Amino acid sequence: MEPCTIGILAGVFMGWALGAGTQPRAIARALGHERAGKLLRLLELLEEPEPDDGEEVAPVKEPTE
Amino acid sequence: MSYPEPDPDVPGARVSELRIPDGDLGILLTVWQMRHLVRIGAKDPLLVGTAASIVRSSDGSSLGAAEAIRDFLESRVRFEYDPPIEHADGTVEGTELLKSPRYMLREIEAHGVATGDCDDVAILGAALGRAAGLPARFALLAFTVGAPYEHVYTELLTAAGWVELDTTRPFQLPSGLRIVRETRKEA
Repeated sequence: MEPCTIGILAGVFMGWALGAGTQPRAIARALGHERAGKLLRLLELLEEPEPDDGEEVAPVKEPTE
Repeated sequence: MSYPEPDPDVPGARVSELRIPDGDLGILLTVWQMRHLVRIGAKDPLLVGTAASIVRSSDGSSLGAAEAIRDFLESRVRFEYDPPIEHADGTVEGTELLKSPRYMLREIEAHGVATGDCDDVAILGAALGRAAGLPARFALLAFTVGAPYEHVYTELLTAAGWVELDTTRPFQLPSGLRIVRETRKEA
Protein backbone atom coordinates (compact mmCIF):
# COMPACT_ATOMS: atom_id res chain seq x y z
CA MET A 1 0.00 0.00 0.00
CA GLU A 2 1.39 3.39 -0.95
CA PRO A 3 2.25 5.75 1.93
CA CYS A 4 -0.10 8.36 0.53
CA THR A 5 -2.91 5.80 0.48
CA ILE A 6 -2.25 5.00 4.12
CA GLY A 7 -2.29 8.71 4.85
CA ILE A 8 -5.58 9.17 3.07
CA LEU A 9 -7.14 6.22 4.92
CA ALA A 10 -5.81 7.52 8.23
CA GLY A 11 -7.24 10.92 7.43
CA VAL A 12 -10.60 9.44 6.55
CA PHE A 13 -10.64 7.47 9.79
CA MET A 14 -9.64 10.53 11.83
CA GLY A 15 -12.33 12.55 10.13
CA TRP A 16 -14.92 9.91 10.84
CA ALA A 17 -13.75 9.60 14.44
CA LEU A 18 -13.91 13.34 15.00
CA GLY A 19 -17.30 13.48 13.32
CA ALA A 20 -18.50 10.72 15.55
CA GLY A 21 -17.10 12.48 18.59
CA THR A 22 -20.53 12.76 20.06
CA GLN A 23 -20.89 8.99 19.75
CA PRO A 24 -17.93 7.57 21.68
CA ARG A 25 -19.62 4.19 21.92
CA ALA A 26 -19.63 3.91 18.13
CA ILE A 27 -15.88 4.52 18.05
CA ALA A 28 -15.20 2.13 20.92
CA ARG A 29 -17.31 -0.52 19.22
CA ALA A 30 -15.51 -0.06 15.89
CA LEU A 31 -12.19 -0.43 17.68
CA GLY A 32 -13.39 -3.58 19.37
CA HIS A 33 -13.29 -2.13 22.88
CA GLU A 34 -16.98 -2.46 23.45
CA ARG A 35 -19.30 -5.39 22.92
CA ALA A 36 -22.34 -4.65 20.84
CA GLY A 37 -25.73 -5.19 22.42
CA LYS A 38 -26.39 -6.53 25.88
CA LEU A 39 -25.95 -9.90 27.50
CA LEU A 40 -29.26 -11.49 28.49
CA ARG A 41 -28.91 -14.25 31.10
CA LEU A 42 -31.65 -16.68 32.11
CA LEU A 43 -31.38 -18.23 35.56
CA GLU A 44 -33.49 -21.36 35.81
CA LEU A 45 -33.44 -24.60 37.75
CA LEU A 46 -32.64 -28.00 36.29
CA GLU A 47 -35.78 -29.40 37.91
CA GLU A 48 -38.12 -27.00 36.10
CA PRO A 49 -40.77 -28.49 33.86
CA GLU A 50 -39.92 -28.46 30.19
CA PRO A 51 -42.13 -26.37 27.91
CA ASP A 52 -44.56 -28.37 25.81
CA ASP A 53 -43.89 -27.96 22.13
CA GLY A 54 -46.58 -25.86 20.61
CA GLU A 55 -48.88 -26.32 23.53
CA GLU A 56 -50.34 -23.15 24.88
CA VAL A 57 -50.90 -22.57 28.55
CA ALA A 58 -54.40 -23.54 29.56
CA PRO A 59 -56.66 -20.59 28.85
CA VAL A 60 -57.10 -18.42 31.86
CA LYS A 61 -60.56 -17.99 33.25
CA GLU A 62 -62.24 -14.69 32.72
CA PRO A 63 -62.37 -12.94 36.04
CA THR A 64 -65.68 -12.93 37.79
CA GLU A 65 -66.72 -11.40 41.02
CA MET B 1 -15.54 -14.15 31.98
CA SER B 2 -16.26 -13.91 35.64
CA TYR B 3 -19.87 -14.33 36.66
CA PRO B 4 -21.59 -13.77 39.95
CA GLU B 5 -22.42 -17.27 41.10
CA PRO B 6 -26.05 -18.34 41.45
CA ASP B 7 -27.23 -18.57 45.05
CA PRO B 8 -25.44 -21.58 46.64
CA ASP B 9 -28.51 -22.19 48.76
CA VAL B 10 -30.56 -22.80 45.62
CA PRO B 11 -28.91 -25.87 44.09
CA GLY B 12 -29.45 -27.00 40.53
CA ALA B 13 -29.24 -23.59 38.88
CA ARG B 14 -28.84 -23.48 35.14
CA VAL B 15 -27.70 -20.31 33.38
CA SER B 16 -28.21 -19.80 29.68
CA GLU B 17 -27.36 -16.63 27.86
CA LEU B 18 -27.67 -14.84 24.58
CA ARG B 19 -26.55 -11.48 23.31
CA ILE B 20 -29.40 -9.17 22.36
CA PRO B 21 -29.24 -5.96 20.33
CA ASP B 22 -29.56 -2.51 21.82
CA GLY B 23 -32.81 -0.61 21.59
CA ASP B 24 -36.39 -1.72 21.33
CA LEU B 25 -35.54 -4.89 19.41
CA GLY B 26 -33.50 -6.06 22.38
CA ILE B 27 -36.36 -5.12 24.70
CA LEU B 28 -38.82 -7.14 22.63
CA LEU B 29 -36.52 -10.17 22.72
CA THR B 30 -36.27 -9.75 26.49
CA VAL B 31 -40.05 -9.62 26.79
CA TRP B 32 -40.26 -12.77 24.67
CA GLN B 33 -37.95 -14.55 27.11
CA MET B 34 -39.93 -13.18 30.07
CA ARG B 35 -43.14 -14.56 28.55
CA HIS B 36 -41.42 -17.92 28.06
CA LEU B 37 -40.56 -18.06 31.78
CA VAL B 38 -44.09 -16.99 32.73
CA ARG B 39 -45.72 -19.67 30.58
CA ILE B 40 -43.55 -22.42 32.06
CA GLY B 41 -43.95 -21.05 35.57
CA ALA B 42 -47.74 -20.79 35.40
CA LYS B 43 -47.94 -24.55 34.78
CA ASP B 44 -45.37 -25.45 37.42
CA PRO B 45 -47.02 -27.29 40.33
CA LEU B 46 -44.85 -25.33 42.77
CA LEU B 47 -46.18 -22.05 41.35
CA VAL B 48 -49.75 -23.30 41.20
CA GLY B 49 -49.60 -24.38 44.83
CA THR B 50 -48.02 -21.12 45.93
CA ALA B 51 -50.59 -19.08 44.02
CA ALA B 52 -53.42 -21.05 45.60
CA SER B 53 -51.93 -20.48 49.03
CA ILE B 54 -51.57 -16.73 48.43
CA VAL B 55 -55.08 -16.36 47.03
CA ARG B 56 -56.56 -18.38 49.87
CA SER B 57 -55.72 -15.53 52.21
CA SER B 58 -57.75 -13.05 50.15
CA ASP B 59 -61.48 -12.34 50.11
CA GLY B 60 -62.11 -14.69 47.18
CA SER B 61 -62.60 -11.99 44.56
CA SER B 62 -60.31 -11.58 41.54
CA LEU B 63 -59.36 -8.12 42.85
CA GLY B 64 -58.53 -9.61 46.22
CA ALA B 65 -56.42 -12.29 44.52
CA ALA B 66 -54.42 -9.71 42.56
CA GLU B 67 -53.89 -7.59 45.67
CA ALA B 68 -52.77 -10.64 47.64
CA ILE B 69 -50.21 -11.43 44.91
CA ARG B 70 -48.98 -7.83 45.03
CA ASP B 71 -48.64 -8.06 48.82
CA PHE B 72 -46.66 -11.26 48.39
CA LEU B 73 -44.27 -9.59 45.93
CA GLU B 74 -43.86 -6.57 48.19
CA SER B 75 -43.04 -8.65 51.23
CA ARG B 76 -41.07 -11.46 49.62
CA VAL B 77 -38.93 -9.84 46.93
CA ARG B 78 -36.15 -7.40 47.79
CA PHE B 79 -35.08 -5.10 44.99
CA GLU B 80 -31.56 -5.67 43.70
CA TYR B 81 -29.90 -4.50 40.49
CA ASP B 82 -28.70 -7.16 38.07
CA PRO B 83 -25.07 -8.00 38.82
CA PRO B 84 -22.50 -7.09 36.14
CA ILE B 85 -19.95 -9.56 34.77
CA GLU B 86 -16.23 -9.09 34.35
CA HIS B 87 -14.61 -10.15 31.08
CA ALA B 88 -11.17 -11.67 30.74
CA ASP B 89 -9.79 -8.36 29.49
CA GLY B 90 -10.86 -6.68 32.72
CA THR B 91 -13.83 -4.81 31.30
CA VAL B 92 -17.03 -4.93 33.27
CA GLU B 93 -20.33 -5.25 31.46
CA GLY B 94 -23.85 -4.78 32.73
CA THR B 95 -26.21 -7.65 32.02
CA GLU B 96 -29.92 -8.33 31.97
CA LEU B 97 -30.63 -11.23 34.31
CA LEU B 98 -34.01 -12.95 34.22
CA LYS B 99 -34.86 -15.34 37.03
CA SER B 100 -37.42 -18.06 36.60
CA PRO B 101 -40.37 -18.01 39.00
CA ARG B 102 -39.38 -21.38 40.43
CA TYR B 103 -35.86 -20.11 41.13
CA MET B 104 -37.29 -17.13 42.99
CA LEU B 105 -39.63 -19.32 45.05
CA ARG B 106 -36.64 -21.49 45.99
CA GLU B 107 -34.78 -18.33 47.05
CA ILE B 108 -37.75 -17.43 49.23
CA GLU B 109 -37.75 -20.92 50.73
CA ALA B 110 -34.04 -20.62 51.51
CA HIS B 111 -33.87 -17.05 52.77
CA GLY B 112 -37.40 -15.79 53.36
CA VAL B 113 -37.01 -13.34 50.50
CA ALA B 114 -35.87 -13.45 46.88
CA THR B 115 -33.91 -10.71 45.17
CA GLY B 116 -34.51 -9.22 41.75
CA ASP B 117 -35.22 -6.15 39.69
CA CYS B 118 -38.34 -5.07 37.85
CA ASP B 119 -38.29 -7.80 35.21
CA ASP B 120 -37.87 -10.58 37.79
CA VAL B 121 -40.81 -9.29 39.82
CA ALA B 122 -42.85 -8.89 36.62
CA ILE B 123 -42.16 -12.51 35.67
CA LEU B 124 -43.03 -13.87 39.11
CA GLY B 125 -46.15 -11.72 39.39
CA ALA B 126 -47.41 -12.72 35.96
CA ALA B 127 -46.73 -16.42 36.58
CA LEU B 128 -48.53 -16.34 39.94
CA GLY B 129 -51.41 -14.39 38.40
CA ARG B 130 -51.81 -16.79 35.50
CA ALA B 131 -51.51 -19.75 37.87
CA ALA B 132 -54.38 -18.19 39.83
CA GLY B 133 -56.45 -17.83 36.64
CA LEU B 134 -55.96 -14.12 36.04
CA PRO B 135 -54.96 -12.77 32.61
CA ALA B 136 -51.60 -10.99 32.81
CA ARG B 137 -49.77 -8.45 30.72
CA PHE B 138 -46.50 -6.55 30.91
CA ALA B 139 -46.47 -2.74 30.98
CA LEU B 140 -43.32 -1.20 29.51
CA LEU B 141 -42.44 2.42 30.23
CA ALA B 142 -39.89 4.85 28.81
CA PHE B 143 -38.95 8.08 30.56
CA THR B 144 -36.53 9.53 28.03
CA VAL B 145 -37.46 10.68 24.55
CA GLY B 146 -35.77 8.48 21.98
CA ALA B 147 -34.60 5.95 24.56
CA PRO B 148 -35.76 2.35 24.78
CA TYR B 149 -38.16 1.17 27.46
CA GLU B 150 -36.59 1.43 30.91
CA HIS B 151 -39.10 -0.16 33.25
CA VAL B 152 -41.51 -3.08 33.25
CA TYR B 153 -44.20 -4.34 35.58
CA THR B 154 -47.11 -6.74 35.45
CA GLU B 155 -50.81 -5.97 35.39
CA LEU B 156 -53.46 -8.57 36.25
CA LEU B 157 -56.99 -8.38 34.94
CA THR B 158 -59.67 -8.47 37.61
CA ALA B 159 -63.38 -7.71 37.66
CA ALA B 160 -62.37 -4.23 38.82
CA GLY B 161 -60.02 -3.73 35.88
CA TRP B 162 -56.27 -4.07 35.47
CA VAL B 163 -54.37 -4.10 38.75
CA GLU B 164 -50.71 -3.14 38.62
CA LEU B 165 -48.05 -5.04 40.54
CA ASP B 166 -45.35 -2.37 40.29
CA THR B 167 -43.51 -3.04 43.54
CA THR B 168 -39.94 -2.16 42.48
CA ARG B 169 -40.46 1.31 41.03
CA PRO B 170 -39.89 3.20 44.32
CA PHE B 171 -36.53 1.44 44.70
CA GLN B 172 -35.47 1.62 41.07
CA LEU B 173 -36.55 4.99 39.76
CA PRO B 174 -36.74 8.52 41.12
CA SER B 175 -40.23 9.75 41.85
CA GLY B 176 -41.92 12.20 39.52
CA LEU B 177 -40.52 10.83 36.27
CA ARG B 178 -42.67 11.67 33.28
CA ILE B 179 -43.66 8.73 31.10
CA VAL B 180 -42.94 9.62 27.48
CA ARG B 181 -43.85 6.26 25.96
CA GLU B 182 -45.60 3.10 27.13
CA THR B 183 -46.94 -0.12 25.72
CA ARG B 184 -48.55 -3.33 26.89
CA LYS B 185 -47.54 -6.89 25.95
CA GLU B 186 -49.35 -10.09 26.83
CA ALA B 187 -47.51 -12.02 29.52
